[in-house]
Amino acid sequence: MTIQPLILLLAGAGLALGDGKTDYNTYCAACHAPDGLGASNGTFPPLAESPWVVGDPSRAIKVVLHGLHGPVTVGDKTFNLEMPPQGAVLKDEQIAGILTYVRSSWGNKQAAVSPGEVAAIRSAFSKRETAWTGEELDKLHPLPETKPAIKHLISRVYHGEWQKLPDFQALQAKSIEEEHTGRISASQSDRKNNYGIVWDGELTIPEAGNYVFELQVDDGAAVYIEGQEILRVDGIGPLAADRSRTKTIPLTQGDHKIRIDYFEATGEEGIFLRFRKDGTKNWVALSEKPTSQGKVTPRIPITPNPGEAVMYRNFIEDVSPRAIGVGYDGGVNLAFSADNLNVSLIWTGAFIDGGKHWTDRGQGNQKPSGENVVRLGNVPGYAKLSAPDASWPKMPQEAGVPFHFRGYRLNKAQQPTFLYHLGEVEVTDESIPEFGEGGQKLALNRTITFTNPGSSPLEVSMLLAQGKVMAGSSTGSYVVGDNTTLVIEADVAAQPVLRDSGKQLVLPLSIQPGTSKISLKYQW
Amino acid sequence: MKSLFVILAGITSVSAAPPAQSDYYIREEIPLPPNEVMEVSSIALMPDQKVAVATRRGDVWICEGAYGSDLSKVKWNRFAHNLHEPLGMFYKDGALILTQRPEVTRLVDTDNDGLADVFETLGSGWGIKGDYHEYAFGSPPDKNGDIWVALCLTGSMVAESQFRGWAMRVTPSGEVIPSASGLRSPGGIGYNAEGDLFFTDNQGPWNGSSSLKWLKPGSFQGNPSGNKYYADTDAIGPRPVDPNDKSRIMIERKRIPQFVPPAVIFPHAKVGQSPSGIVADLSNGKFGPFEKQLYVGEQTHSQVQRVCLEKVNGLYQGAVFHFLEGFEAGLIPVTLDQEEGTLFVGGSNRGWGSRGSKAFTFERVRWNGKIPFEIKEMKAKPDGFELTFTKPVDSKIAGDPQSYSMKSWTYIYQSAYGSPEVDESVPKVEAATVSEDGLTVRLKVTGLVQGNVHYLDAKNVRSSENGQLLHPEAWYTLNEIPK
Repeated sequence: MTIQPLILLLAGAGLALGDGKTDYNTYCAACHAPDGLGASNGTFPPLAESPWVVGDPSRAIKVVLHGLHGPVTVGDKTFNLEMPPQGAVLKDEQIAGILTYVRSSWGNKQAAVSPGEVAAIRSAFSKRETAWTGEELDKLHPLPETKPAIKHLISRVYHGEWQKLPDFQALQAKSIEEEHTGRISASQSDRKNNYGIVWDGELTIPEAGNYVFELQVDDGAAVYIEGQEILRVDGIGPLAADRSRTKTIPLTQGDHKIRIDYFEATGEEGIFLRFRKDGTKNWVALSEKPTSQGKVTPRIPITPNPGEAVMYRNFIEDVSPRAIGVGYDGGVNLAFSADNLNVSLIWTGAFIDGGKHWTDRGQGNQKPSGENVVRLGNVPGYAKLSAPDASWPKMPQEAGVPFHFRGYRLNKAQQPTFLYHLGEVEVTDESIPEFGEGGQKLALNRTITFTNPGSSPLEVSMLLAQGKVMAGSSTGSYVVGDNTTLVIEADVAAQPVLRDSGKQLVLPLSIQPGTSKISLKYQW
Repeated sequence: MKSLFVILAGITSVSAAPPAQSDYYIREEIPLPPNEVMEVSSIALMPDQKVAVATRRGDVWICEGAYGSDLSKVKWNRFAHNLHEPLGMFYKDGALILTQRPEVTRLVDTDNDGLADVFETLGSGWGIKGDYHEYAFGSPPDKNGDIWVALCLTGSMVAESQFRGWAMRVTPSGEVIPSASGLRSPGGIGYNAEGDLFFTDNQGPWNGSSSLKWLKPGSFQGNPSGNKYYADTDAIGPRPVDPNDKSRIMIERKRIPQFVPPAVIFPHAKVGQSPSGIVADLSNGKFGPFEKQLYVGEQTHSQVQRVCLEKVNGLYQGAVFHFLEGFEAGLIPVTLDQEEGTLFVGGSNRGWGSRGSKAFTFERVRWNGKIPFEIKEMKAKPDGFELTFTKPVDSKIAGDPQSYSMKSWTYIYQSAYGSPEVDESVPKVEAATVSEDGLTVRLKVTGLVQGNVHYLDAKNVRSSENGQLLHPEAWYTLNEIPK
């Protein structure tokens, strides 16, 4: 009496598993990989031993039915990809089969999912048209509690200015805390700059074997197991692949003392530490998940060759989408808008980082990497104003004169001259940096040349700066941003006007037939 | 012992080794410049057997030696830096012309130092808001010299920027003219042998499955998200009526005269999951027996599919077959050197996974002159289909209707993402008549369903030399049944 139903049950499960595997390989494996570890070496979220497929299957059913949008954390990694909804493609039986397969493969040992469970969620959310977000799902279906990675974790915070790891044993801690999360985090300090943290705790090793540890840190850290140093990344530097270190050590079963010394000077901070058993792919994070910043994207600094400029065409913060960044050797940079026909940003120091746009799908706008960023205006560079106090247009279509971006040409030093038309008037717009002796940056000299082929002048105003603008010490001189001086010279009769309660500097122009020129000097 | 041996020998003689792609086509990776990330997004053929390659990071490189017998000797020179994700590039009159996200740009090296120094904007002005999915795929020039740019929807779902979901035509004088609506998420754009324009569109809202679509000037391609921009242009007439949700293409195309249905649907997961670049075979037999057919890249499955098209009652339709596979990353551009018969492909799996596990690849495929046994063409007839094979068939097997099986289905035409296969039916092959030369088989089929994909499995068919089909399956989209 008891045997027969059991056999039927097993047969049923086996059948569902078979279909589920085929469907998984057809519909899911391109991203999640046939081995469940996430395709492209884990660029996509793993399903093997993922807490997302443990326990109540509702979370996974919802993701499959309606898709998933935005950042999510799986294990110790954050992903920001788009999972397309499959509810319209896959039947309840197929989804149940796929999830049953996923939940019983690659080390997962979870109960089967029935078509009825899928049907219930499908009908309860039949009106839903948007994908789920990780945040929503975390509220509705919290991930199962996991054991603390490090037992009895204690943090001690130290204050001091260091360029490399000090001997913390010789120093006096400012504070001591027990970290119940069992994971280390740079945010466990009471300050953002010039501090150190020493963590002590116990690491439980489930079975004897070789274990691989990996450390990445901004700025420096060292890891000790049973008092022996196993990893060190020292000095000042960012979280970056080239500062990542790994080490494989043998460990016996049981608890082992672990200590991590960490210091942060100034700027960005963070520490990532994880380990796995050699020969497996399942990392255990010993550091806190990255939080609001999401995943750490690799840095890909874009730098000009000596004596040259380098360009970067992509989405740049505070510039319209048709943005063109130019980084000049020596640490002078600008971003030109091909929509607005203006220099929207100038800054000094490092140019820009390609990591944001060149990793995964490359969402979002990139900020300049350097300093002294002056936002000269993310609005049209020119406008025909109906009255002197008329508000400045927001869109190029409202400028009152047709804008026509024609491209640019590069000189031998790869420095661009932008070319555009304002109606019939042809404009060249060139910026060249100026350096003093010893290479210190003095200025960016911008020359704008108008060629008016017509017989009547073009009356148009040019936006010179917005936001923080103040009259300077001499005629035609202004301070823009915090400490950048703008000097205006024009061979056309033109008088700059500070308008909009002093927040906007505009140069009314009467561009005469023939050729005329304006010189702008941005000085630091 | 003796009887066992006999049985084994018997098995060996009936099943000759199944054919493999490598018996006919030689696929080779072309070495890339070391330490560079070469996520190939565009390929353009240049004079003197140079090949220009653009990357998703926006670099343009020129490769010499890509045709050579010793690929280790290839030389690479960087021509331009950090453009905005160029998708579509061609060479014309001494310049490379490429489509970046914001514009179509002409790159010229005026001083012959090997670096582009003029970047002339030929056309721009379509909406772009900084969304990562607002891709722009540019075509080579059409008969009039116009470049067509297929604009992906914002986030591949909505049209938050002007003319998202439209195809724009950039004329030689720099005009940018809205020329077709209803696109969703293009993966490539190119011409058929007759010079008509096609693009691939990916499964999603209003696309039950991915497909190859005929980008007929003035047409509506099925996704109404961008139709609000008819208010901003009178270039292609008034706004079409909106399609009804959860309907069928066959029903809605009668309501919406501008709606051109997909020419060839690529059934999701069975054929591929993300079709990409398109190129027609005009090589006159230099790349095998598929003269005038289309080769279509596939990003997720790292493949190239083959398409034969025909025009029936004014609409394009036809069949898709599996063709080449095993590429090292997800394919994006596909280009054929028609003189040399060399196919160049490239791709990347950044952001979207692929079967090929490398982050990026650049490869060539050449034909070795041996004819694979394939269904060369599948054409619709009033009462069935006509199959043309690349080699004579075994008439006895190919003349038996039992050697074929068919299924048909369509997709729900809906705003939801994708669709299951619905309205399934089993068309019946009643008769199979083999031509005298053994190259053509006329299938008489009952139960054809207009609008459905008709799937044909011919795995039992053998060549007159007892060879198996390299790819025995075909998927024919029957928009129209010829009279």
